[in-house]
Amino acid sequence: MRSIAAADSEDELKAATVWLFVQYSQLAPNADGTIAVGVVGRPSFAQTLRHTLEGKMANGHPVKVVELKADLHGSQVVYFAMDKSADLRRGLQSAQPLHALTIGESDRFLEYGGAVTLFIVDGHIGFETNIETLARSGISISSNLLKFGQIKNRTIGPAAR
Amino acid sequence: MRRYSSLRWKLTALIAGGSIVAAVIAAAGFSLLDLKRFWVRSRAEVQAVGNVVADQAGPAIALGDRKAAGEILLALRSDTLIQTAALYDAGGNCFATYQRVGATGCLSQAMLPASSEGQTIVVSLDVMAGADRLGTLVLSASVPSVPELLWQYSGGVMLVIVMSLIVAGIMGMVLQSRVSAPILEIAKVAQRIAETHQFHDRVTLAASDELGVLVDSFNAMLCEIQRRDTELAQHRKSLEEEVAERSRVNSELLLAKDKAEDATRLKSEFLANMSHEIRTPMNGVMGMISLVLDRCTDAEEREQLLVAESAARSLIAILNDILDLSKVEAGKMTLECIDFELAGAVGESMRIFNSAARQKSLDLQFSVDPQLPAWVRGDPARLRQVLVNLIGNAVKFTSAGIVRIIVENVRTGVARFSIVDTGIGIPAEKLGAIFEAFTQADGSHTRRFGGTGLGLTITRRLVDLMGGRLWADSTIGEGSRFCFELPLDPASPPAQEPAAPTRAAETVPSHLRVLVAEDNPINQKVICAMLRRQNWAVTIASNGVEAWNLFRDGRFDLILMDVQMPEMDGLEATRLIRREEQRRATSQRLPIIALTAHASPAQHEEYLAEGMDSVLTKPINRPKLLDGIYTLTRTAAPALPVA
Repeated sequence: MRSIAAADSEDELKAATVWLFVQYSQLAPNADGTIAVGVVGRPSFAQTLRHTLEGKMANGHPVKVVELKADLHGSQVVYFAMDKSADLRRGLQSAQPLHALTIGESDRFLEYGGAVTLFIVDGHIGFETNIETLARSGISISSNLLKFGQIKNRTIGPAAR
Repeated sequence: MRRYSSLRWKLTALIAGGSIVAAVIAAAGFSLLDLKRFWVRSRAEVQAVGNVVADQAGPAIALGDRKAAGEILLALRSDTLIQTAALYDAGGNCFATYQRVGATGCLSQAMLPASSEGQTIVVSLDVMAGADRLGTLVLSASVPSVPELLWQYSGGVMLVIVMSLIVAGIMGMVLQSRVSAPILEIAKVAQRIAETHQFHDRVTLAASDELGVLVDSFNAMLCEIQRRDTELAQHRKSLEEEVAERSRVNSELLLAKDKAEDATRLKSEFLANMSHEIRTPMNGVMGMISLVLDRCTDAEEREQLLVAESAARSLIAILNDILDLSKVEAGKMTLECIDFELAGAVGESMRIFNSAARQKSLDLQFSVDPQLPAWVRGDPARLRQVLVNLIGNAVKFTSAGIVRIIVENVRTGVARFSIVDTGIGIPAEKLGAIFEAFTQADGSHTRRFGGTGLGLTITRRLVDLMGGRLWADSTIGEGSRFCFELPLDPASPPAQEPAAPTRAAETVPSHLRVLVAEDNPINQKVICAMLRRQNWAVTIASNGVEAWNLFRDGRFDLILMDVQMPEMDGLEATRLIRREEQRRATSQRLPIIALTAHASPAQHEEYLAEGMDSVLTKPINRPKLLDGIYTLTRTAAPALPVA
């Protein structure tokens, strides 16, 4: 695969990073054995993500990308490609009981209850993780990955595996 | 004194040596195993570290975070094995590197060792994210060489060896007390016994192991040796006593033997003296009878005188037998070794019995094997004596029939003489005893046939003395056969001598002045009577001194000199006479005839060497005397007046 550094656009960078999180996280597959990555919001990103993830296997499970509207069920990872705070709040609230890994790109994504927010600085992608949210969602992310990003609520119990 | 530390030191050295060898082998083995394990572990460790690094470096490659990747690789500093590490992205481009020594900076993949060689372990790992290969991590680790590792281990090995030596020393001391101490104690006791020969010594160690068995066995062996030693001492004591007893008995036996030999010698001397003493008067008796017989014309008186003469001859024969036996037993019998005619000697011996055989109408025969040499070398006198004895016996015990003398050639140089008769025979059980002295086959024979029983004894002794053997076989009523074999070397016949002239009356000296030196009065009378019957003048000297004085004072034509006389013997007197003749430088040599009872040839030679001219053996009868004088007359004719 091409590395994130070689991504052509910001969406590709973000898609590659999402793919990293899928690979380095412990996700319970669906009944059909797939791991579903749901995209809420911008459809172009859903396309880019599909282009990045389709046909790949994560921990032995095929990965599929689905575009989500209101029902977030059935997705182990939910990417919020939107900036509106109200939508984010609502979406994150609905995702909270699903124990899904929530990834967003809004500056206040973590404040609204998201687990991982992506950002790009000087052409390089970075991420910040809310350990509390991760712990609450019951999803473990490899510390090998987490150590490349920033950690919020570091005092909260371990969420990394 | 020998030190007994060798066994202990040997044990200690053996244990120490064994321990060191074992330690070295174990250390080498463990070192090699450890070395192998170290290699495996090092490779596994590098692999594990690589896995961790690759795992950690995956997100860095994915995120393009070279700095983070460099920091991850830098964490390899804590692992001293890893010398270099390089992280490549999926396209093979260097993403981050680490080098323990030397410049930092990214290395191309070709610059790193391709594979593990020698002391270098190279591990190449794919950096994966799930099933995606993000890149490659290449680690190069350096492990110590084998010598370096062994050098590192040498300290431990030395420690093990030192510990082994200490343990060996301790074990040696323990063994010395447990093992070598009993052995050394046994050795001490053995050496003590070897020095003192006291087998009551024992080893006083109690042990229940093999050493205990050894000690018990050693003590049991000492017991056995002590028992045998005691038995040997007893045996030796009894042997010594036995030897002493035997020595005592031997001494007594030797004493008895000496006494017996002395007694035998004394007996022989006594017999010889007695024979001589008896024979001397018997000579007188014979001489007188002979003189009377010469003039006796009355037939009856003559018959009586002949009987008396025969009795005297028998008595002298007995005396001669006794004398011969004494000589043989005393070892004084000497043999001649001269050449003689064999058939002549046998014939002479046989002819003696012609008269007796005719009286008994016996046929006397003799034959000599033509293969035998005519002349042989030996002692003819003793051969004749043996033959006369055997033929005499055959004639004596044969009343009718034949007495045959057969001389055969058994093999070269050995002749067998067989005297076969048709007489009364000898019982088989008596054949062995007839050769014993004073023994006859039947006691009644002595009364019937006469004899002393010495004849066969002397005969056998003489045959033995001549190097032969004598035996007899006989059948009662059919006759006997006496055989003897003698070694007789062939001899050459002497040159033909002119025939000796017969003694004629005119050759006998008509007048002689005879000096008779004889100490025995009877012999004086006999000799004087014989000489005076010839009308010769006789002067008597009773010893050598008188003879010497008469010689100096008178004139004599002949001296009859007895050899054994008191005051001066005949030999000394002869020597004086010869010396006087030399002093006078007279050309005439006075004939001296020795008279002696000793008839051995050696003595005859001795007498002749002392200056005597001939020897006459006693008993002397008139014919013998006149013959001797005649013989001397022929050789010394100028000195003697011949009629």
